[in-house]
Amino acid sequence: MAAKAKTPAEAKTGPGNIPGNKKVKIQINKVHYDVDEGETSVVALRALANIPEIDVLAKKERGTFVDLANDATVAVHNGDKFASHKPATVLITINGEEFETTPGANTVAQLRSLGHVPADEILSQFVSGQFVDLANDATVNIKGGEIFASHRPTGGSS
Amino acid sequence: MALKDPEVAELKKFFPNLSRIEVGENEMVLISPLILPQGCNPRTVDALLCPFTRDGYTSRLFLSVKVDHTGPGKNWNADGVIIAGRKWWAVSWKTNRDDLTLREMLLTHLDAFK
Repeated sequence: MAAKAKTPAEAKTGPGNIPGNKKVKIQINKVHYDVDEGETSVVALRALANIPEIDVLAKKERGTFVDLANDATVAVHNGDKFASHKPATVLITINGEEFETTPGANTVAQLRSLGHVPADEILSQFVSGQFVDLANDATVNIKGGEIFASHRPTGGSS
Repeated sequence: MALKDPEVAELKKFFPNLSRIEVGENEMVLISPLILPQGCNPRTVDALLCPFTRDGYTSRLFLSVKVDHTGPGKNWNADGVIIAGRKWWAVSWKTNRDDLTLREMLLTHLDAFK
């Protein structure tokens, strides 16, 4: 059974901390921690080492770091090594310039910030040969290669 | 007036079939096809983006057909004008800016049809 996730304050002393449990030494990002041997949640390990929310935690297995899902549990043994890394990013284009972003859900606010799109400009996605205006409260599922363009709506009938 | 190569290159990323049309001493951009905003009928047309001053407009977007649409550009005051050997139609729509890139210019003109 997975150990219950600790708050960051609790996790500074290690996940579990059940009296009588065998303590083992692990490394997370080259920092040593004493934790209970056995199953523990990835969430608890992340909290213990203050891993940023966007980063991925990986465990060294047979010489290679293997990414751990945030909702998983992991068996912890003496000498285990963990390390975090930034997630893989993909390239998108905003107003002709390429930017890196994480794949998956990107809010329009995030895209606007990434592409330095002024607040008074409409951000549109070019998809299937057409420009589609994006609502400011919308989210776009990014896979990589998406193209966006913005403009200030200054036009009018005369 | 010649088009700016970097702006043409940027627009070509959206429309690979884009071509440059000489009209006298100036150049226009032919976009074939251009998919107009939802609510337009037909939605797929050829378009001629005129980036220089003409007929009192700093720029114009000519379409190969007069489309039905629900946008604010209702006054079709270019009615079958002949440019580069073809007939074109355009609504009365001012961008109110003379510093637009080709990409910005196209998007601003498309607002007439949204």
